[in-house]
Amino acid sequence: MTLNLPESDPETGTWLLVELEAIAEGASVATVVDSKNFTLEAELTKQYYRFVADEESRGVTVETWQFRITTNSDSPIAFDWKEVALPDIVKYEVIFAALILTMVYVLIVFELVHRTLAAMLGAFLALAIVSKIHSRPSLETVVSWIDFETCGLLFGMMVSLFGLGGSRRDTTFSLASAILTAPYHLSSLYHSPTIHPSLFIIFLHLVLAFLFCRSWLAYFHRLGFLNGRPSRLLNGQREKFGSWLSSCASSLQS
Amino acid sequence: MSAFLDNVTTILLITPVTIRLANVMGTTPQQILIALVMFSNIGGTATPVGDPPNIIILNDKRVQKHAPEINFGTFTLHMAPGVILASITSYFVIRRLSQHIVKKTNPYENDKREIAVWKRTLGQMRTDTEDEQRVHTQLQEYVVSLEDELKQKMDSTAGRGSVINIAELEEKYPIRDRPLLVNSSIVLTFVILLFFLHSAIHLELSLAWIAIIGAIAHLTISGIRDIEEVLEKVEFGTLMFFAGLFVLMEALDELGLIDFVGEQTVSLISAVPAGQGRLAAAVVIIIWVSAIVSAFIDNIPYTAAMVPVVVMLGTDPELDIPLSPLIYSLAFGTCLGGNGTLIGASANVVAAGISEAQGYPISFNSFFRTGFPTMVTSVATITVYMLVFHVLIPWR
Repeated sequence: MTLNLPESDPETGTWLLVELEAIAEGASVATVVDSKNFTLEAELTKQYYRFVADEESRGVTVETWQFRITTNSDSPIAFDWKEVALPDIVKYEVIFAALILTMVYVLIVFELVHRTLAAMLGAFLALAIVSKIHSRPSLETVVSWIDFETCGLLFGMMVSLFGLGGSRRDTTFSLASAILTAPYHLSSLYHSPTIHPSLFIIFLHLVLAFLFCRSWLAYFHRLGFLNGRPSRLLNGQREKFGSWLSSCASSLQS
Repeated sequence: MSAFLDNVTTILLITPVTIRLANVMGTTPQQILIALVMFSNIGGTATPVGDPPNIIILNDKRVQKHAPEINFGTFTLHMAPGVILASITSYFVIRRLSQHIVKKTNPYENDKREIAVWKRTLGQMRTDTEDEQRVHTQLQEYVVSLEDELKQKMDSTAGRGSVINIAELEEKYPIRDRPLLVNSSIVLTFVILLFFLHSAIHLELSLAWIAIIGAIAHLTISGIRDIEEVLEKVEFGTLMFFAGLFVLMEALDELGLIDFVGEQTVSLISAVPAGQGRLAAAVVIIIWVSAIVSAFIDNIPYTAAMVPVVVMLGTDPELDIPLSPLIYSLAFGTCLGGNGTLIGASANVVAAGISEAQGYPISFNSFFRTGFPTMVTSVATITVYMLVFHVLIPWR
């Protein structure tokens, strides 16, 4: 299949951005060849394929570009085609990108502005450069760049944990102490010394013990994990927990 | 724990508890949090579900096609020993670096922070109507009186005792709203259970969905009328930061920055003479380039851009390099590199955001001072591990 592109502007036409998006799912390899037989291979998935004419063709005014697109797919495939002639400064785009990144880091490192503002300023500048050099992405496209998987997870957990969990000043600590003392409460329900009621709480303990204690073996010893059945722990667990906390505090301060 | 639960979730769950505990222990929580985040990042490297780069690598069709031997089990088997080694070395570095920094808070710290919180509330208030103005002035007066009180206290009292009594604490922090606590616990237990299930079996729910469904359920059963009060506590600063960062990184990707790094890596590796030396060079270059790049650039777009490059390197008959060591190197480099700076990994930003909201800001510099040396140590450990177990003794 051969496509003839419209005539390009002699001043800017040496750099060309082609966006090729296969609509059919199921990858198929396509070869894009221009009139000068530059061969480029791209895997056509749902991704954009980006082609910028290379250094050799620069300075040559090309009136028409020819692209041949072949595919190894048996079934016919559909694709989107969009081409943009780029200005000459496109060859410095990596430098621009590096400069923006440096600027954002300077803002954050020297705490000139809050990091949220720094990231937004950087995003704004980078978008400005992209708009200038390539084509301006639509607001919809820009919003689609945000990873809502991460943001949604954060939002949901923040509502649950801080919005409601911490809505009274005291509940956070109560929750914390409830989680931390849960093994003792739960262990009265179980009488098996080998299977612990909650794997999660063991992990939490491990992490905290690893961080807070000079030796976490001593911590477990103190709790009685190593020298008795968990159900025995119920007696005097409060004192043990308190003394553990204070010993941790002193080991950190020393 | 991070090995089985997503990093960000882990940090979200543990940070508030850690801050509270540190508070009770009379220390500043920042350094403990930094250590926590770092171990979480290192631990997350071990399994395909622990860290976003690993998820990207393992779900890539090209990787699945060209390296069918890599699955959940083999990946964990190859990563876990390295992760354990790296956490041992990092542990000593973090300990050494933290020793001077973890300090006892002075007894007035809490009062000072309380004043700071009041002041912030004052700043957030609107003063459009007369009523609001009245509240505003009263608050202002209250802040001034608190400041006076603190001054008096500082003059008169000495430090307090260091023994912590749990019964006393429970009196001090009573559970005021028991139904809410029970409700919260039920919802949170379900949400966390789903998070774990998510990594074990295939659910038709992503983590974001689980969290949002949890939030809606939570709001429904808690019977809260004042939704504004709840939403105000959501840290939109952190969320906006993420949004800005994602757009920034994608725009930089659009400008070809990440492709440029990939191309340079390939040309560097191709320049090394063939043989065992080339594999070693490829492993070292991929680990270090990935680590340094993902410390400063978000590691998700970097991984997405590097996977095809690495697959190309590993399948090129001229280069003759096995693919799987390269994939492990990429996973190690990108995940551990996130420890380098405060914005290197999502978990870092989340911890900093929560900590800041509770009155303990973590600055970029304080994170960097511990994070970067730790990152260098862990990456050096991994380099040795990869060189010994994949280059000297080929282990597939």
